[in-house]
Amino acid sequence: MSAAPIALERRWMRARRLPGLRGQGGVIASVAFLVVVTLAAILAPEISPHNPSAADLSSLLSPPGTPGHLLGTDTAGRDILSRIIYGARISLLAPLVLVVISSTLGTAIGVCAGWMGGIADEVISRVMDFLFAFPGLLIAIIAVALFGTGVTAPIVGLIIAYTPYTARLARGLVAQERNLPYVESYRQQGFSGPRIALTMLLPNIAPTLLAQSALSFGYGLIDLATLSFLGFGVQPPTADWGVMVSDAQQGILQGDIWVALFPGLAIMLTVISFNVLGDAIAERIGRTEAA
Amino acid sequence: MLRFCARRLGGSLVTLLISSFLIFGSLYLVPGDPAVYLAHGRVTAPQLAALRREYGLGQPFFERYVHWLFGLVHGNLGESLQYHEPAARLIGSRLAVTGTLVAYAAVLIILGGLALGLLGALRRGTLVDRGVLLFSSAATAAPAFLTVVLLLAIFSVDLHWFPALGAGQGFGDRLWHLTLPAVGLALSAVGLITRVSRTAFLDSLRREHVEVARSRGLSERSVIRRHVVRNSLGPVATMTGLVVATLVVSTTVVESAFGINGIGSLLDSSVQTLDYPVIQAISLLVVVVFLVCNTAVDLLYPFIDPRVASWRSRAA
Repeated sequence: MSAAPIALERRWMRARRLPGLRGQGGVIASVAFLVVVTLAAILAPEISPHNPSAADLSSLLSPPGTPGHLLGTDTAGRDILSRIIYGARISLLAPLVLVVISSTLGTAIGVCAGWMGGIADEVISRVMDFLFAFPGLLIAIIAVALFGTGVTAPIVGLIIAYTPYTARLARGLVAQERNLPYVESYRQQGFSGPRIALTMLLPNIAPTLLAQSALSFGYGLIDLATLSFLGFGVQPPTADWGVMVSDAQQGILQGDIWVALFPGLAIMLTVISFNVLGDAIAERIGRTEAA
Repeated sequence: MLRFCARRLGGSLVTLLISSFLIFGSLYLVPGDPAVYLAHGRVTAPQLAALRREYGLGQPFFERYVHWLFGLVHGNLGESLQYHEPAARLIGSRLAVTGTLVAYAAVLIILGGLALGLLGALRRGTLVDRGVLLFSSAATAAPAFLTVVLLLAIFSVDLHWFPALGAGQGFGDRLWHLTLPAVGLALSAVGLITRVSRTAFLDSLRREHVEVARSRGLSERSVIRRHVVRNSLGPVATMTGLVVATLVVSTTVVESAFGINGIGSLLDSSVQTLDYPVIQAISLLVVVVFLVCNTAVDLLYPFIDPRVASWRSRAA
């Protein structure tokens, strides 16, 4: 079963770039936004105007711009800005853990397959191909059913789902790279295979893998927020962007849209920033275009 | 061609077999006694013993799997612990709604993605193109749950254009009820397909044969239709095939938000009540949908794009 041939995947990767936002301005804005969000997450107790779980029953669903509540309050009277700032912690940390583990694992598997070739490659590629038949969200939902709600089960499920993508990319890159003359020349100089693969070849393909990781972060953020929205991931009353949109559903029926809009915007802007960043790295290398 | 089909079908069956094994085996990953997990406080001690017998928990693992697999072949997907009904019947009664919803979304994805992609490619570099790209990146970054909640707030609660709940009766009413859910389900994939098709169209527009067709005096319209669009459908079809199976899982979000009684909301409630047999049955369904879509795209590919043509070369 060859799900999507490598050639197509490359075209797809090229297609996923965002030329419209790709100018330097877009990249700078994205980096700035991500720095602000990260700082907000780290400094949450210092900068957040209110306690994120403190319910102000005298001001339920107050609109944005209310004095003391810049972005308004939610259905329980909690300050939305404070919840977004605190929510940044788990909303960013969870995808970070997911991406670090799945990218490392995927790179290791892909480099092994691409470098060794032969039967090992065949077996690994088949197993990875096979995992593509399971959408990530489904694996995460199964993990939740087996191991209970919370942030761990979704992360574990999504690691299983995301690893094959990195592995396939890494495998393809290594398979191309190992036929280049420099690899052979190191071999002639007597370097061992693993040493060439890890110290000379890996740095050459690392930027492409990094670009992919930035894109994965965006997808991971969305998938994890989706699970929190469904009530399978981060549990209320913990502030999390997905949970906030879920909480907002009651407010929506009264026509109060901002309760869902602001955490939603936080998610979208973070994802777009990571996509722009990933594309900028990929373009900088110019590798996917050439290949 | 026949050989290619046989190979493709064989590959799919092997994938299905391995999937079924994993889906079956996953139950035994659960910490503690699977019977206690399945019972989930629903049954008394004697019933627990019955459950153990029913699931053959005393027998060796592989024997249990073969037994379960034979059940599958005979259409027995297990019994829901929540509803005390065969999972196959639960799924069957909801299949029509979810099938319509997913098909509706797929149509929106293909038409919307192609139209916007073509618009961007033909107006390359203009304000229109930038708009298309901006839409595409925003849509790709918008989680389905957010889109759905916002659509509900704007078009149901505020403007009263569309109903907020249920799936409707009869064809027209059903389409009307399912419009918002389908848009919510489709939006982020529309963004993705827009970008894929825009790139594919730009690729084709740059080709020599398009120049040749123009110089032969063909109208721009027919050049675009026959030489540009036709050439670009391949990658779009492949991506769409990959996306559709994901849509089935994403209905979980959409159906819960709109109170639609379909496969997605069944999966949602099954996880909440730990109705594992139903979760297993739905997982199998998703894998089947994935395999059917991808096999269909691969088999149709030579019709979509005759240059890739020979089944033999693609099979190799």
